Amino acid sequence: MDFRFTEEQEKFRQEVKGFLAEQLPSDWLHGGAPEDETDEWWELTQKFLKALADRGWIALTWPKEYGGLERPTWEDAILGEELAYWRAPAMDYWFRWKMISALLLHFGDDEQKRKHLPGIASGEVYWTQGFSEPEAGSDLGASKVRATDKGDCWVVNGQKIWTSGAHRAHWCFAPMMTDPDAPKRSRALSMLVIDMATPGITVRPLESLEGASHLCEVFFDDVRVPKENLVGERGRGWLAAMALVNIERSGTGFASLPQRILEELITYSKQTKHNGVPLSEDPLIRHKLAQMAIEIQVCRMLAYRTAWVQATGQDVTSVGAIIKLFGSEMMQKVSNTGLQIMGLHSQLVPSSERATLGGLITRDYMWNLCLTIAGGTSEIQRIIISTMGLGLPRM
Amino acid sequence: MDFALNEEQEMLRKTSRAFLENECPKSLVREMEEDEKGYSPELWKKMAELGWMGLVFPEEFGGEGMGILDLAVLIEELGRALVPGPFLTTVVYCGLTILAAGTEEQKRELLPKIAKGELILSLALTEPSASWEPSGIEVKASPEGDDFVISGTKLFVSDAHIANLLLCAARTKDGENKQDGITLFLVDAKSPGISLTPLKTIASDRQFEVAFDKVKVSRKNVLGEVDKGWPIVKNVLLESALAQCALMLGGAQQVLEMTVNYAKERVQFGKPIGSFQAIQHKCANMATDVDGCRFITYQAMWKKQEGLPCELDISMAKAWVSEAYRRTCAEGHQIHGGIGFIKDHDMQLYYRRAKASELAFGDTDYHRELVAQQIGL
Repeated sequence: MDFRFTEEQEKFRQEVKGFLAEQLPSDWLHGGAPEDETDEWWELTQKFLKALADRGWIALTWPKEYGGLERPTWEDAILGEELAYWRAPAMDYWFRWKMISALLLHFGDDEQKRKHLPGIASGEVYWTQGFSEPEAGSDLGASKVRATDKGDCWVVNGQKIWTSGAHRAHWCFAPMMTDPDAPKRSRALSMLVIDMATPGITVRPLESLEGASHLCEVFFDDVRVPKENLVGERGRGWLAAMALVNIERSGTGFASLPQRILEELITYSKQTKHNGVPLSEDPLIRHKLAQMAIEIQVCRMLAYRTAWVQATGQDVTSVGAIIKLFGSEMMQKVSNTGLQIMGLHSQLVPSSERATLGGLITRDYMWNLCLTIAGGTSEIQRIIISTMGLGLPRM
Repeated sequence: MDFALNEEQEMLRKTSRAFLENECPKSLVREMEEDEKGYSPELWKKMAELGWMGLVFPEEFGGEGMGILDLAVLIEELGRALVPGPFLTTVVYCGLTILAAGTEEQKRELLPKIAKGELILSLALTEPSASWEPSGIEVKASPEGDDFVISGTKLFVSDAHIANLLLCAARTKDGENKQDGITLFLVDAKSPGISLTPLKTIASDRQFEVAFDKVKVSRKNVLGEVDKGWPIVKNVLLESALAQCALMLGGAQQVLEMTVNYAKERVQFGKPIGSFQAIQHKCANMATDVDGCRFITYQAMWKKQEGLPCELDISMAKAWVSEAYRRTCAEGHQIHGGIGFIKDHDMQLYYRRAKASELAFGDTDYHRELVAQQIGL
C-alpha cells in the first residue's frame, strides 16, 4: 500500500491550483452565486471551460491521436478533486464531457471520433445526457423513447427528463429503444448521439427546488437522426449506459467539496461569538465539526480507492456505487450540519445581504437534496453494492 | 497510490488466516472465555514459532524486521479469528514501547524473549478515574535509594494474571503541569505488594484491578526518563488505538461475510432473505462501513510506517472504526434475527468484543475531541 501522490502528480495539482486561482474571481466562493444561471454567470462559465480546454485538460487522458495528452487517469482524479474544492463553474459540463468522450473512445467508430472529439476537447460543444424518462427513472432499462429504423435514418419520438443542461447543449447522447421486440429487455436499447438543433426537438427547463433551471425536459417529435449516429452496436445501449454511469459515480469531488465547506465552517466558528464565547469553543460544535472531518477523511479514502481501481483497470461498478452512496449522503449531512452551526442566519438565501458565507452552504443544502437521487438513487447504489459487490441474489 | 497489499502481505494474510482457522476455531475462543488463564499457551507458542510476536522487531532483537503495515495485516486476522490472549498487550502496547523508548540493554534483554513467546507483558495505565489524560495517572512512585516504591491502584489492566512484567505508568512528581512527572516502570508482575482482582467484562476477556502496595522497583527498570514519560504514554495510546482499529476491522470484515452468507442461505417467504431489498440495503451499509474502516485504518498505518505525522489520522480512524464496527455488528445481528442472539452462535462473540475495542484507548467522543483540536478548533 502507498497513500502518497507521486511528485509528478503533486506538480500537476499545483498547476491546477494555479490555473484556478488565475481563472476564478477572488470572491468566487462567496459572491459568485454560480447556479443562478445569469447571463454574467454563463459568460464566465464559457470562458472558464474554454480556458480549461486550452490547457488540454478536457482531453487530459485521451490518446494523442485524438488530440489528448494521454496522461494517467490519476491526473483526471486530481483535476476533479481541485475543480470541486474550488467550486469551479459548470462542473457538470466537465463531467458530461468525460462521459461522452469515454463513450466515443470506447464504443465510437473512427468517423464519430473524428467528428465529435475535437469539439469536446476545445470546450466549445456542450453535451447533455438523455438517460431518464418520465417512466424510466431508477429502472433505466425501461426507457421507451423510440428510435425507429427508417432505412436511411432513425426517427425518434418520446420524452426524456432531468436532461441537465439541455437548454444550452449542442448535442445529446441517449439510450433509445431501437428494438422493442428484442428477446431481452437490455438488448432493446441503442446509444444515439443527436444534434440538438434537429427539427422536432423541444427543450423545456424545469425550475428546481433551489431556484435554478438547468434540469430540463426534452421532447422528440419525429426527429430524424442520421443512421451513422448510432454509437457502438445496435442493441448494446444498455451496456454503454452502464459503463457511463460508472464514470458519473466515481468522482473525487465527493470529498474535496465538503473539505472546503469544513474549512469555511472552522473559520466561521472561530470568528463568530455566541453569548460572548466563540462557537469553536462549544463542545457540541467542536464534535459536529470533528465528525465532519472524520467522515470526509473516510470519503477521501473511498474516492481515492475508486480512482485506484479505475487506474488499475479493475471493474469499478461496486466501488463506484460505494463512493457515490457514501459521498452523496455525507454531503447532505455536511450542509445540514453547516446550517445547524450557522443558526437563524442559515435560512437566508445567497442574494440576501445578511446571508452567512454568502449563502454558500444554504445553497448547498437546497441542491444537495438531489444528490442521493441523481446519477442513481442511494437505493439503487445499495442494490448494486449488495448484488454486484457482495453477490446477494437479485430480486 | 496503491490500495493493494504487496505480495508478502498477501502471503502473510493467507497463511495466518489458514493457521488460525485450524488452530483457533471458535470452540477454542469459547473455551478460553471460561478458562482460568484465558488463553492457550500451546497456541501462543505456535504463534511465536511463526515469528508473529517479533514480526516488527528488528532482526538484531530476534525479530523479523517487518513493518507496522505487515503487523496490521496480522492483527486484522487476529480480530477476524477473535484470538484470545495477550498478543496486543505484549507486542504492541508494551513491546513497541520498549523498542521505541527502551535502553539498548532493555531491548537486548526483553525483545528477543517477547519474540520467542517467553515473555508476556501487560500495560498498567488506566486507573479508577478511567481517564486517558495525564491527570489520570495518580498512582505514586517515590524514590527510595536506588529504587522506587509504587503505591496505588490500576484498573482495566489486561492479562495481568499471566504477565511476567507490568508496564506501569506512575506519578513521580506532582505539580501544576500534569504532563510533567510521569514515569514508566517495568515491574516484575510477581513482586511483593502486587495483588490482582479480576474484573468481569462483557467481552469475557481478562482484565484486572491491580493494587500496588509499596512495590519496590529498581531504578534500572525505568523505561525512558524519570518524570518525562508522558510523550511515551501518549505514543502508547495512539499506537494501541491504531492496533485496535486493525483488530476491529478484522472482526467487522468477518461479521460482514458471516452475515452475507447467512442472507444467501436463510429462506423466508420462499426466497433467500438476501434477495429482499430491506436486507440488501443493510448489507450494503455494512460493506460501506467496512470499506471505510479498512482504508482509514491502513492509511493511518501507512503514515505511521513512513514516519509521517499521523496523530490526526489515528484519532480519525479510532473515532470512525469504533462506531462503524458497532454498527456492523448491530446490522449483522438484525439480519441474523433470533439465532444470532443465542450464545451458541458466533455473532455474539463479535458484538461483545466490539464494545470492548470501542472503549479501549479512547472511545469515539474522546478521539473526536482530539480531532477537533487538530483541525484548528
